[in-house]
Amino acid sequence: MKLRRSMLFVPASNAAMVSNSFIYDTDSIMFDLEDSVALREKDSARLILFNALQHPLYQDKEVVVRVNSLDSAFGVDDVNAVVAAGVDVIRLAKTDSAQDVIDMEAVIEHAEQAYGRPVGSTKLLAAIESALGITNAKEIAFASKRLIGIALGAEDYVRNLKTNRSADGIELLFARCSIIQAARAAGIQCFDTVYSDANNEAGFIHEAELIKQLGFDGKSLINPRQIDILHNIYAPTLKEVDHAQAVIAAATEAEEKGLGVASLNGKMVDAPIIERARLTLERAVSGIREEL
Amino acid sequence: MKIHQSAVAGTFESSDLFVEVEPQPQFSLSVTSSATQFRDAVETQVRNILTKLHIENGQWRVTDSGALDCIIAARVETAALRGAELSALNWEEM
Amino acid sequence: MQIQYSIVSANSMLYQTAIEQLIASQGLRYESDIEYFCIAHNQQQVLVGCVGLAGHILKCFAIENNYQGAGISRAMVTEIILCAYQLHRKSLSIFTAPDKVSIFQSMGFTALTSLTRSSVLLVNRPEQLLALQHQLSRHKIIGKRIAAIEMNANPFTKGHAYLIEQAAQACDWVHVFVVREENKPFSFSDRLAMVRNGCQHLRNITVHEGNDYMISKRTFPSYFLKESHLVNQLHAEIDCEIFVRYIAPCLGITHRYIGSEPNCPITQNYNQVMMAMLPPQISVVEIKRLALSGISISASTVRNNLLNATTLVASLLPISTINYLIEHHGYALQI
Repeated sequence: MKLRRSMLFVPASNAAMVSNSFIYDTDSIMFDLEDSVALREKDSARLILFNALQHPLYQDKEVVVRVNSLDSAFGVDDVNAVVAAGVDVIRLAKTDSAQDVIDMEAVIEHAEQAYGRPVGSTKLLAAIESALGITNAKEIAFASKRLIGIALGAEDYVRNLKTNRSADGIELLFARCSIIQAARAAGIQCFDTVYSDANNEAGFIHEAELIKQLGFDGKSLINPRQIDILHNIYAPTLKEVDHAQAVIAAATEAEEKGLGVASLNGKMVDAPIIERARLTLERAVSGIREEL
Repeated sequence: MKIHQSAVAGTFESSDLFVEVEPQPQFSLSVTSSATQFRDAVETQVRNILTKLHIENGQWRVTDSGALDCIIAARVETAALRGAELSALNWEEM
Repeated sequence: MQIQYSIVSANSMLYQTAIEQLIASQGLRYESDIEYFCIAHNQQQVLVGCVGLAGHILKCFAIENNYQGAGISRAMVTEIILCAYQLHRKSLSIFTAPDKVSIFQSMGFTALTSLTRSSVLLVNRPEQLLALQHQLSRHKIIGKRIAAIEMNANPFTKGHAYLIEQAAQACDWVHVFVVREENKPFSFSDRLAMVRNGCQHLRNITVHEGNDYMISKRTFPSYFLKESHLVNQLHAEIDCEIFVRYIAPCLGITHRYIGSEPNCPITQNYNQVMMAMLPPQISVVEIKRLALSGISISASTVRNNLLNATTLVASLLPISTINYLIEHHGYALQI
């Protein structure tokens, strides 16, 4: 599974940000056509993405696009444009039910056929932003083969709960756990919401450590300064890296010698452990965390 | 595509392009760029995009603030669609 | 540093105090004719930038010291221009300090006047001036003495007629320009008609419609606003520079005729600026204002007395104007 710790939010209507965001060392870039784009700029933002996604700068980067709702005047055109331009992942905002995912899938499939893209090549990420969506999290997570994951959108969610976001995030605990449970049950990834106070680094670190411990694969970001901090929190320690390398070495050796089962220091090394070791090594690429 | 109403797209912000078009039977284009060494390249690209869109009329005025080619294309296409009162391009042809 | 931009009405109670303070902090004066502002707020919701729109002019461009830099100004100018476009005002001007000229040039504006002055006039449709020059040059008459006169003619008095006649006698040709900006009580078309009617007996004159580049709100806003002396002086100089550089050469103007001004300080100052700036290319001839029974004739006297002392008014006006006012405005003027 692809490493997706960081997804940097970039408003698609901002020419300078779209032109520069490829320089950031983020796992995915998430261009937004939805709430960060003013109504009068919806058409222009869509055309910016249509052109930028085909630009060589964005060929080596995973690109996620948050499109407008299919109920709006923009949703279908958004999907057509970004599918035609070869988007990697479409982020479906405000997912309330499995049907929302199925409806989006139909529009994507239609676009893939119309614009000569392999059917099924466009992936989906469903963002859940309401109490109804959290209640349906399991059904949503199983709704499509295209789903790479589900994500929490907390701003609308806390409004829906009639509360607001706090420093320790107690109000989000249930939603976060629901999303992790659903994602893991369906075998897909899960992503935490943005931390919106871009200048509060301590608060961001606190939240990032919490969601990593809960089990999230990553988090949406609004400030490029948060990328390194987040990657550092997800980085393994030297001891963990050494162990992971040993696991991979044991597995490779066992495979080469035709052994059915690998072991390391007398402990069996099975598929989940190998998978875990691979993830550790991937996360180590951007750095190794110093042990405290 | 025919321009029959005035339209603007883009901004004067850095890395962006500001495009204005007024309907007129003939075609005219003026381009200025904050990076004068790129002015001619911007003009060539704008002309290519307009040719691709089959646009043969309008008074076009383009102010470049150092836009990448994908931004230039997007802003010109936006102004063209707005000026022609169309909602979307034929994505396949582009 | 996230900045939020919005367009607000200039008389919005929510922002007015903050806008006035910001403008003052940048050494500028709040100008009362502004209709709209684009304002910029930082993340703490503090006002950090503004630019106003008054008619076709962008003004009161101010950015808080810590936020100076191209980013905010470019975003604000985009917003205020889009606002002007929505109001169908496509042709825009800005008066700005010489050190800000290059930023506006990079946003599609062209400087029309010298960078040595503390205020420079830039426009976004310089081709309109070219078109005007082209159109004026079709009226060019070759001669040794070619005069220009600009007038409001609100209404056209014996004084205006006298000034034109003096010029017509002394010169090969006279070009009369009627200020275009709408005025009270007489509209531009009324004033133009009164001047044309009053000059029918003269063979060597052309009466032109005024334009955006001669005593207009675009080149000389303080003339219409009665602003402080300093602004007035600058705008008067800018107006004269445009006349010398762009207007006079198209018509081969050699002389500018002006009437002496006993009352209005703005016009007095404008006359002085002309005498200082137009030579040597153009000679300024000041004609002493025509007086009747010891009182010099002025359009303002006529305006102030239109409704009551009709005999006095009639004595100040040529017969062509009296006929026009009776016919078109129903004034019961007694000759």
